[in-house]
Amino acid sequence: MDRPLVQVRDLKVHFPMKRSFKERLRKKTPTMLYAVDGVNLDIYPGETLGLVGESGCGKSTLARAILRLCEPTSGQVLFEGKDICQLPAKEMRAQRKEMQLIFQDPYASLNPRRTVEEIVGLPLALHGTPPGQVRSRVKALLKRVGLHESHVDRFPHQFSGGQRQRIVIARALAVKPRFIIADEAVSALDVSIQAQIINLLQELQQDFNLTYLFITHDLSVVSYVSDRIAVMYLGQIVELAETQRLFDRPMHPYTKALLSAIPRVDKRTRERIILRGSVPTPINPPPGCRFYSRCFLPQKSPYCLIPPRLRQVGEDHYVACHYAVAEPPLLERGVG
Amino acid sequence: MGERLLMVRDLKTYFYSDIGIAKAVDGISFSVAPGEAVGIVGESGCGKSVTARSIMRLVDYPGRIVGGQILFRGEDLLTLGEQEMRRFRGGHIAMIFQDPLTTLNPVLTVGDQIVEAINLHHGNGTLRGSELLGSLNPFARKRMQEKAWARAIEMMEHVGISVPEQRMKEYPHQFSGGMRQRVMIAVALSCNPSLLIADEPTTALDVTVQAQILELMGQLRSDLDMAIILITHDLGVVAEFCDRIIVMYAGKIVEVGTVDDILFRPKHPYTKGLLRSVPKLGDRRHRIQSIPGVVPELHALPTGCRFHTRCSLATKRCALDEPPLTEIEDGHEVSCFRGTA
Repeated sequence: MDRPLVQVRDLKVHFPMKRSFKERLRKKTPTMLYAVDGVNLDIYPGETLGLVGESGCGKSTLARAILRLCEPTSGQVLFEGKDICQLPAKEMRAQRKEMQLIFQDPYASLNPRRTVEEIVGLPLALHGTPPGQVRSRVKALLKRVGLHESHVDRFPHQFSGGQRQRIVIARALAVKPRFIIADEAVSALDVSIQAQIINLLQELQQDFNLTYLFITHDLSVVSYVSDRIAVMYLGQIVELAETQRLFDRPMHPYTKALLSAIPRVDKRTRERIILRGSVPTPINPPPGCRFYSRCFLPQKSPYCLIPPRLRQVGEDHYVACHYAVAEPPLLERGVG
Repeated sequence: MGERLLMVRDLKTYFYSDIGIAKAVDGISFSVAPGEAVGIVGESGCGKSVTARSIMRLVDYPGRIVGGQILFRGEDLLTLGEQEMRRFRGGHIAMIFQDPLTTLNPVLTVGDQIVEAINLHHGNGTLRGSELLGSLNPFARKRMQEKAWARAIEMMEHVGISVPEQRMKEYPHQFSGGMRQRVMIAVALSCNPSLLIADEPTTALDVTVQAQILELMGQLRSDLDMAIILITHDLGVVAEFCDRIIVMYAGKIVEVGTVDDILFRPKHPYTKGLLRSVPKLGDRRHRIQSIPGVVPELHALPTGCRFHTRCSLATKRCALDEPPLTEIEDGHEVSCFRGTA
């Protein structure tokens, strides 16, 4: 396989909690919130890596740390082998041209007082497009994302939710990035519009050879767009596998529960694993396996207090559970 | 068909705004049998929430119910006075909303809010409890409060909240999203309603919590023999939870049928398009067939069939005449000139 475009090495993002006045006087060390706690990921050029997990599991913090929108506590993010966490501000700014972010809420991510030309043109101007060419570039971008050239002088409120998300995509594409993080990019849209935007993102990926990190809580969407999927729980990756493999043979109990919890149109009768309780807080997470308190495996034991590491159980399949058993390689490969 | 719990006939709810009349709900008719779970699906702005609010008579200004009938056990709710309506609202028909944080009062404990609902309807939905409470002597009042408190604890237990005695004294912000929705369900069910309207009850929740809440609602439905109208945009949720599905588009019902009718034998082009746009789990890298265009503005609706501007089967007739909702099989109704073929 090629060299990874983005490598995340043991990334940790911890936030100090607010201390009370009394605690500050006593110089008490603040309690920490372990939003991202030791994540390793490789993202290869041209692929779509899906990242799923429930709210509060640290998906968005991980995305922000990869783009260095928040400073990681420790660990490395390598973009083509270069550690971007160590770059000085000026070089970092040039680096940002390569990586862009699409947010969830197209209403909140567009300035209501700027026209589309100003919104999409700003990144162009910042990264050195001559002023005379900005307008024509913006028009070309709008056309590419399925809007009309005449939309260039309009304001965001004149567009529907789906159209706004197209503007956000045009803005992200303006600087010709190679890596795009889509953070819940289609979650706020209606199904029929969602389908349009997913199709657009897929087309753009082929045309511009983009690499996506696709973050969502919706497993059906992620299964549609991703080559590989990483499942996150309480700040850690618990399972990483090729998409079809993950759906056919989930190994981690959390992944199994997550997959069985999705209401589906096509198959209605199937046994469902209903997890008890809710996600523990990332402040003082349980020691050892983070899923221990909700785990339903009969084998779970005091060994689970030893933190399970992400280990390989099959081709391109990694699981962080002591009880996931490696399967023998598929027969056809042996016969080959 | 048997006896119906709720019958909605030709309901029209319009919003009168500066830019024109928005026909949010425009002449819809449907019915709900006792103990039945009916799902109303559609995209944002199709009128599903307004339908729910109309049944509860909770439509805010500038909206107004301009026509039709809402018969609950044969009594027309639209002709009732506000005082009489309060007896139904919460007592016979209860409603839960999407966002449990904004619907619970942040300055009252969870227990107080459940007790309030119980006292208001005196636990059985027949008496105006709050008036009664004022007229009682202090001892009787205390006894009634204690009874309501005990009933609230019972409700909390029923919806799966552990240590209810202690949690009754906590405030909504001390509960997680899923737990808050459980509290809302406890408030709604405290007066034994025979109809529960749930407006996107699980949309704000995570999938694993959603599964918990749907399981709970299904269980309570069979325990209490209560009918449920579930409003959602998620076809997967209705597929698992409901007996019948109503599909709405731009203020009109386009298709009604059993879950199997709608999901496996859809007739209306909009229903078909909607089903095709749902990404299937594990089915990868095919282009999803989306419905072209967007939902029309409610104050500038197209003539004829409201879907004809986005429909691939549309003919000249579709732009002129409005297709009526016609029954094509037993219990399966479609409003389309072409879809019945």
